[in-house]
This record gives sequence, C-alpha cells and structure tokens, in this order.
Amino acid sequence: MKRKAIIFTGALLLTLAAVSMAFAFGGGNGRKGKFLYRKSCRSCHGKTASDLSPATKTQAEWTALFKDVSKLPCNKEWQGLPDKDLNDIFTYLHDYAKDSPTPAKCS
Amino acid sequence: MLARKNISMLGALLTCLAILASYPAISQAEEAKSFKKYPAIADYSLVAKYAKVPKPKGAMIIDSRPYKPKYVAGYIPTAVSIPASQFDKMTDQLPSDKGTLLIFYCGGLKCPLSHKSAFKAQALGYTNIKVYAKGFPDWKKHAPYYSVGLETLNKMLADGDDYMLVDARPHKKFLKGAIPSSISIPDRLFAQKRGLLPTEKKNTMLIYYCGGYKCLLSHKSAIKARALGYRKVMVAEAGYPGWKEMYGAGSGMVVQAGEVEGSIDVEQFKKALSENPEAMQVIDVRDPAEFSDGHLPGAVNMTVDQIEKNPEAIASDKPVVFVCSTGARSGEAYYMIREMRPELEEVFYLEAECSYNPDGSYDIKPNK
Repeated sequence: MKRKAIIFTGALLLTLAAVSMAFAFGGGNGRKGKFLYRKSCRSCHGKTASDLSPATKTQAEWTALFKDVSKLPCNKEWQGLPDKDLNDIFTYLHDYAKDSPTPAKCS
Repeated sequence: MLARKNISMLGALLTCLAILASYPAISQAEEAKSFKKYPAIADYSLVAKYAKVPKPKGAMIIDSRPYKPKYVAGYIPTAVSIPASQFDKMTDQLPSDKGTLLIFYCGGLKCPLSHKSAFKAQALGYTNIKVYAKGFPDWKKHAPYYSVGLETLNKMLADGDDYMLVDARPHKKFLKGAIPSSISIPDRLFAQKRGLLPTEKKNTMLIYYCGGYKCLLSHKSAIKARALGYRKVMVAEAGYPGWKEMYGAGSGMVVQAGEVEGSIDVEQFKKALSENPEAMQVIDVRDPAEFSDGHLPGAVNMTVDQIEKNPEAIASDKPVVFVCSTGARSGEAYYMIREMRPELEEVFYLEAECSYNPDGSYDIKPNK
C-alpha cells in the first residue's frame, strides 16, 4: 500500500514536471510568431500596436512577462491561444528583443 | 598602251561603283513601277469596317508580310497571317466560300506582297478581292489601335521593356491565371479604374488582352484608352488562352523546400533567379523606399500590410516566393498567406540575409 502511494506520488511529480516544462517557453518558430503576433496581438492592442514591439523590452523582461500573463490588459485574448502559438509569439518577441543580436525595427 | 588600259579599267571600275551606289534607289523605284498592281483597292474606312471583333461575316483580312518579324510586331486587328512567300502552302487558311471578301495588305504603297497574293487568290477562283494598298503604315496612322503577337509581348517581357499590360477580363479570371506583368482593369470598370493608367499618354505603350480571339473586352478597352488620349494602344488578340498554349500557364518549376518550414532552398532560388526568373513570382515585402533602392529582377513590391489588405492580389499561376532583407517579414508574409489563402499551395519565403544594390545586383546568404 505504501509502495503504491510512492509510485503514485512519483507519477504525479513527473506529470507536474512535464506540465511545467510545457509552459517553459523557447525554441518556437519566430517567423510564424511574427505573423501570429500581428494577427493576435494587434487585434487587441490596436492596429499599429505602437506600445508593443519586440524591441520595447529586453529578453529577460519578455521571459518574465510570459511567466504570468494574468494581469496583462489583453489577458482575455491570451486565453484563446494554443500554447504552441504562444510559444511562437514568445520566440519572436524574445529573439528580436531590445538586447537581442537583431532588435526589431519599426516595421 | 598599258597605261591607257589601266585608265579604261579604272573608268569601268568607277562606273561599277556608281551603279552599285545607286543600286538601292534604282531597284526601289523599279520595283514600285514594275510590280503589277491589283486593280481593286480598299481604303482605310473599308478595312476599318471589317477589322473589328466580333468579326463581321463574309470577310477576311490577310497580312501578306512575313510572320516574323512583321506580323507579330503589329497587324490589323482580326487579320490572318498568310505571308506571300507561303501563300501556295497556306491556301487551306482561306475561306471555303469563294465569294468571301478578301482584303490583302502589307507594308504600304511600295510593297508588292499584297498585290501578288491577291492575283494568286484570283487565280484560285475568289471573286471579291481587294488590296489595302496603303497597308499597315496607313492603318497605324488612322486606327485607334492595332494588334500584336504574343511573341512580341514575350520579348518585351524578357527585355524588361517599358509597357503596361492590362487584363481586361473580369477580376476573377485574372486571379485564376494571367499573363505575367499584367494588371487587372476589367473592361466593365474601365471608367472607374482609369486612375490606374499611367499619366503619360504620348509614349506609354498600353497593351490590352482578354480571353482570346473571340473576346471583345480588350478591343473595347483599347478604344476607350485611345479616346482618353493614349497614343500607343495595342491588343494582344491571342489573349490568355494563347499565352497558356505558347508559354504555359505556370512555370512548371518544382520548388525544393529549404530546411526551415515554408522556406525555399536558397541555392535553387539563386539558380532560378539567374536562369529563369519568370518561373516564379518574387514578391518583395520590404517598404517601397527600400525596394526602390534596389531589388531582385522581376520582383514585385507588396508590403505585408498591403498583402493583408488585399491577399487576392497574388496570382496563383506560379510559385510565390516572398523575400525581404532577413527572412523576418517574408516569413510573416508566408504564414499570413497560408492562413488567408490556404488554397495557394506553392508559397515560400526566402530564409536568407539579402542585400540589394541599385544596379540590380544582389547578395543572398542563407541563414544558419
């Protein structure tokens, strides 16, 4: 009985680890992310999304931002996006951040 | 004795030279006088009555000049090419009804070809023959427009000549496939869209086409363009069906995908660019200012914003390759068009670092 509990706990821990890993962003498709960003973010932030460019934040800031999105003004829109899309968007923002080798220009 | 002989030889030589020098003038004058002229002559107004679409029944206009380079470079609308030199071989092109009005023409008053052919037709039993003796030069002077062969169009396209090619068919047809380099101004929307035509009217070459020999639209648009003041208006009568037959609808290019999703193999792209750029549709998504500083040969400029507003503007007859300077914007365009026009199968982008120079040269390095 005790043994079963250990196995169960172990499985639970493993599952948790896997789930939390799924939320660790990075390595997505930045090209697709640029399009998804345009499609999903501009609809909420406004057509030009002037407050929103990869180069407005550093890579660390983007990473922090993606860890907890519940307080963001556009949080509602985020709910509907699949994790894969979010990861692509993150990759785009992260790879073109202010302190990245290739910060995004105005376009 | 020897000296005198030399002098007389010199004299003979000089005479020979003189004859040689005057030879072209003599031969032309002689030709103009010497060839037998067909007695029944047509003038511009008679020809104009028949040179229109739909083709009036009971008449045929025949161009007696060589097919290349003369006929393809410009001919009277609806005219059939039966070069005088090929007449005997091409009699099957003539109408079976011997009472049909045959109007022969060639390069003007000095040209004997149309007269020669007219006599031959007479000998075949045709009873209603006329020669438009003033020929094509006279037509060009009076008519609102003339027709050109697709060979000419294709050459202009390859040479990058300055012209404007207009598809007069409905927009939907244009989207399904069109002659490269053309823009869509459906005849029905001519008045509404005339702002799309260049402002320069004297030298702009305006070429219209539509759905082939029986299609009216290009002829209608051409007449309207002339009325607006355009001086060089032409119709490519064979239209898109003719183009498809001669040069193929698509390019037949099979694009090799690159390593990254949606990208074209960079080496293949570079090869196609130098060998057969017409096989693909290169869309440069950079800003117009960047584009005007230098771009790939044959590339069209359309920013991502423009594509988003009008994704239907991308024709489907060739593989599409989006390019920019790094792959970022072209990748964005790629994913956008995948979503907006999922029916387009052959869409790619260039995952590479590119620089373009004003002289048309370029440097493309694949991204690692």
